[in-house]
Amino acid sequence: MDITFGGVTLVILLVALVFVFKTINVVPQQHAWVVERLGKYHATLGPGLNIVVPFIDRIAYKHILKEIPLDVPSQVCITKDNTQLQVDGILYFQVTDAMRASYGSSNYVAAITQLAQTTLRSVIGRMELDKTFEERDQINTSVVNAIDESAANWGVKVLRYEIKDLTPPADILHAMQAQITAERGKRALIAASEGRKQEQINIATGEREASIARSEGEKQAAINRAQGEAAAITAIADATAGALRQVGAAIEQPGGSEAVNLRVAEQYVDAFARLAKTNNTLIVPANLGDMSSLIATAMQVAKTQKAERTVVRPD
Amino acid sequence: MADWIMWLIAAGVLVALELFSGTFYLLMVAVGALAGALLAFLRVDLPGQMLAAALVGIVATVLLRRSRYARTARGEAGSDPNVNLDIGQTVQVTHWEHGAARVMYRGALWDVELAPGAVAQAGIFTIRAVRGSTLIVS
Repeated sequence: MDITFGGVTLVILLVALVFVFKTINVVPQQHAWVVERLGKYHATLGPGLNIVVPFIDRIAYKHILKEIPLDVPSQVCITKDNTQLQVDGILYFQVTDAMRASYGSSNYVAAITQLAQTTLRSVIGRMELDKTFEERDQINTSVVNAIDESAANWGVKVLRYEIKDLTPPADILHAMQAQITAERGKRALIAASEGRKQEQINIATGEREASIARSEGEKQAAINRAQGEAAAITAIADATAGALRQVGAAIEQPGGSEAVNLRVAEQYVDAFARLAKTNNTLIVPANLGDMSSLIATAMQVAKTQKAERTVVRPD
Repeated sequence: MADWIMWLIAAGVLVALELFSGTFYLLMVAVGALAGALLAFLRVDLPGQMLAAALVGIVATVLLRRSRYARTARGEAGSDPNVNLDIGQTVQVTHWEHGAARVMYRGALWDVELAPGAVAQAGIFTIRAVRGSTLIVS
């Protein structure tokens, strides 16, 4: 086999190509490449154009420095009150130190995932079921702090751990649902009975006020009526007294007695006349003939009254 | 088809690939291929063309290293703001315990250490470097 000049130049061309490929490294922003010089850490390449010495330098690790959301696989945790919970979360982490991320841990993703899972298990184990739903912030902070302590040498910073789902077993969910339903039912019944109670109170109060108002009205009406009657009686008495006074005064005049006699006799006759008119019954005085004696009797009454009055009058 | 056309086609393909990939080294190889095309045009035989292409590619790479585009400042990556965006940001430290503290930054709690020569007092500090997941501030 004879090696021609052409073969040699071809080899040189190939070597040149490899040299160029290996020497020039363009690192994108937010990436960091770790360079080993003869197997020992040499430098971390930042973003931009980097020239390394070929054959002795080697790009050993390439890291992305952006924040990475990492799904933590779901796992079963047991709470303090011995309930199984299916929990899965999401972890946000970032490589902050490319050198430590390369050499501090053989696989930092597996390391922080496992640590997040075990920490979560212990945090939830210290809580009761009802607390786990409320204390998400505390759970997240506990997990982040625990990973932070361990990950100091892994070159990784865990920024956040968020629980995505907390799923209790189906039986527990049913029980919770039943409890909530019962609570709601209880509240509904209480509200309805409160309503009925209020309604009855309102009705009773209304009736009470109505009867009070009614009786007040009746009382006022009775008082008004009584006052009216009293006023009427007083007015009639006053009028009667006035009339009698006038009659008395008239009798005192000369010829008064005779006028009275005449008046009485007229009324007596009139009465008998009216009786005969209005009734089909005929009333006949015992002694219709003795009209004069009847009038005399009436006159006697008038005279007696007059005599009594003259006695009573103070002279 | 003439040799120089072959070289030119190779250079064109390389430049096109470079445009798609953005890796920069294909450009150097393309420069080498152009040199090969030039020598082919000057009637130099194929081994000479290949030698020229190889040498020009290597020289172009070495020249690129000397140019201002290459990152010659090989500083500490932990304190390079191009590597770590947190460098140069400020954090509020309320109290120190033996040169260390735990502060809220970017929605998480971080360990903070004082840079040498800085005074441990409450206030606003600037992040100078990141070591592991610890912020070095001053």
